[in-house]
Amino acid sequence: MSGLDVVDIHVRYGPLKVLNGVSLSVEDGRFMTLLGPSGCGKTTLLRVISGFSQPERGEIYIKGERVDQKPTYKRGIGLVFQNYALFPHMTVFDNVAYGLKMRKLSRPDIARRVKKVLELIRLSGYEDRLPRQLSGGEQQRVAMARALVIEPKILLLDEPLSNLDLKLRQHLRLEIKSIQSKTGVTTLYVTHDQMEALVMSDNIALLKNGIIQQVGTPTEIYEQPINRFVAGFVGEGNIFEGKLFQQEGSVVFLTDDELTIHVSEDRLTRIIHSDEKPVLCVRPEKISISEKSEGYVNTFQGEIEEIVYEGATVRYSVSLTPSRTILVIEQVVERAPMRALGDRVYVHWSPKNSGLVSET
Amino acid sequence: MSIGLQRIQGWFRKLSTYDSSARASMRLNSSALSSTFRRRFPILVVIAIAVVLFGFFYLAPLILLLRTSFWKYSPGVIPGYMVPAFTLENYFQALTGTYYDYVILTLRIGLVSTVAAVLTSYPVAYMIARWKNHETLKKVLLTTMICSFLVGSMARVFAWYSMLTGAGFVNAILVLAGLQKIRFIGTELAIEICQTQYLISLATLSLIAPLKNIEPSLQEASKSLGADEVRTFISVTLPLSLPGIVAASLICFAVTVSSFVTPMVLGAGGILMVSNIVYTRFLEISNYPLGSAFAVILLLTSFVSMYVLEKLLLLRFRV
Repeated sequence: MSGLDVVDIHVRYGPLKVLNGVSLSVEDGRFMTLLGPSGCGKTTLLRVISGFSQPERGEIYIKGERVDQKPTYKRGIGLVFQNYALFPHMTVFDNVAYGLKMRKLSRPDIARRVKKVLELIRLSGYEDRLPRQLSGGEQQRVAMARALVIEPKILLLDEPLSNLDLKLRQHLRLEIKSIQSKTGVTTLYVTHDQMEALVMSDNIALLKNGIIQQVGTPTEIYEQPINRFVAGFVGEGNIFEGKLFQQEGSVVFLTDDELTIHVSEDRLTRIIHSDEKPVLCVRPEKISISEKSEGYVNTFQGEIEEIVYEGATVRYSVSLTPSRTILVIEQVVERAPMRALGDRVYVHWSPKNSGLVSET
Repeated sequence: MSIGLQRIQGWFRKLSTYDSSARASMRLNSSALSSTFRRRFPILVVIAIAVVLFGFFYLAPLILLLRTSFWKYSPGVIPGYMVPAFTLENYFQALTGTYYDYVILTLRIGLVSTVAAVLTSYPVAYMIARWKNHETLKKVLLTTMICSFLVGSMARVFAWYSMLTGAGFVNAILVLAGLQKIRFIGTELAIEICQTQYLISLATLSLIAPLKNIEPSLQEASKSLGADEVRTFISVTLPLSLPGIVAASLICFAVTVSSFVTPMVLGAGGILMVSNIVYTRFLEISNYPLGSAFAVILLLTSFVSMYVLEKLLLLRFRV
């Protein structure tokens, strides 16, 4: 069963097409992240689903029921805002109870459900505080509680962690994910933070310029990006431009600066049969670096231009040709090997890690 | 009146405590004060000028007024028809009998005009502050309010006078509609109409900022939780704009109870408000002590109403 279906949504602000035929489907109980750079239309899509913006055309279904003609308050959604939007003149209890009061529940029922949800977010005993007496992380959790307590058909979150500091963000990512699993609510989570998307989601939809680029599990998005934008936006990638040609019965990729790279079979046929210019993406952590060549395919010699020591990893910039520098990330398994700027090294990666993506 | 305004400015400051630039400037001030005397000196000069001006032209006359209000009115005594004494006689006189009716009348006119003006202004200010479209209409409304605010009080009062006389525009309309003529001039109603028209511009202009400051996401949150437009307004928008409403009401009330020209012209001698009483006590019958007592009562009325409203608000709405 489908929790949320968005069908061919078009939104236009004057001459600007903000959403250009977006279709999306979230399975019931799943956690879908809408990921994209700012201005890609992800917040607009969220506002369309919640009913704050009217689409030019398109349909929205929540649990199979069409809602695009309904006002927000009849859609059965729970919404968590970037700035939390807690009512500043109400206590935590009143904030959380607000949606239940609107549903005209009895007082004992309200008290019971508020108590339960405050336990869930581990803020029991905070009932009488005002939002301004809470820390950012606590406000964020109250906002979650307020949205969850009405048992919405879908939960929509609009960059709920972007105002918090890194440590708290990392912690709350897991907390939100675990609350979502416990409640089993269908969730659409909007963010521009690729780490959040990878960590939290069952599925990620990548949006750019109002068009969905790719929908897939975090692994699919990371390991098999469909195009150059996805490859560049999620994680880091060394991007090579060039063309494909036959060599000794197999297909290889000849970069514009004349490196010959053996490629993965994954999307080969499709790329060959399309008119699109192929682009090669190699993740920096999939490249190994060593002092001597071990004779594998895809081994290139280069010179270390920059070393950034990050504790768990070391990042090297290695120049292969005068115009080509690639990024290599090495796990520090033993003690970090002593490499110096200007060292000659060999880099190598397996063909299955050089994934072809399309230009657009 | 100007103390009232300061009070209200304090109000606005309180409302904008979260304004980071204001905080930054407060920090700047305090660090400047704690530095060397050389650096402090210019500031002290400026402060001294303010203190002297305020003390001389505001505080001193106020203290004199307060003192006079306890003196004894003695017709025939030269100079000033009064003798230094301490008597509450003037206050008794002001708050009993005929004079008491003038105080009540003044408060009533203040209350009626304020309520009418704030009720009318709120939707207008809401439109200007929160409507997303209709840019032209919003500009027209705002310009109208500013123009109406800036019209001189004499021009306004005589415009209303000519509108409300027996042969005026309003009565002409009434006659055309087949109704009885109404005598406006010399009634409370005329004063209230004129005051309300002025207060609408004042209240609208002062309500725009507090209404603009309400986060749109709060209303959206309310709707997402199942509240329709009306419930959202009652539970979220209205309580959050309450400080603004109170501030606007205070300004309106203070302006009205101290109005002088409007009752003088439109009251046509039949209606006297406290300011007019003060005027005649001082300039026509030279009863300075009674005039002073009335002035003090007027001032206290403003203070007390502000204090009460503020306390009520703090208790009830935690803002």
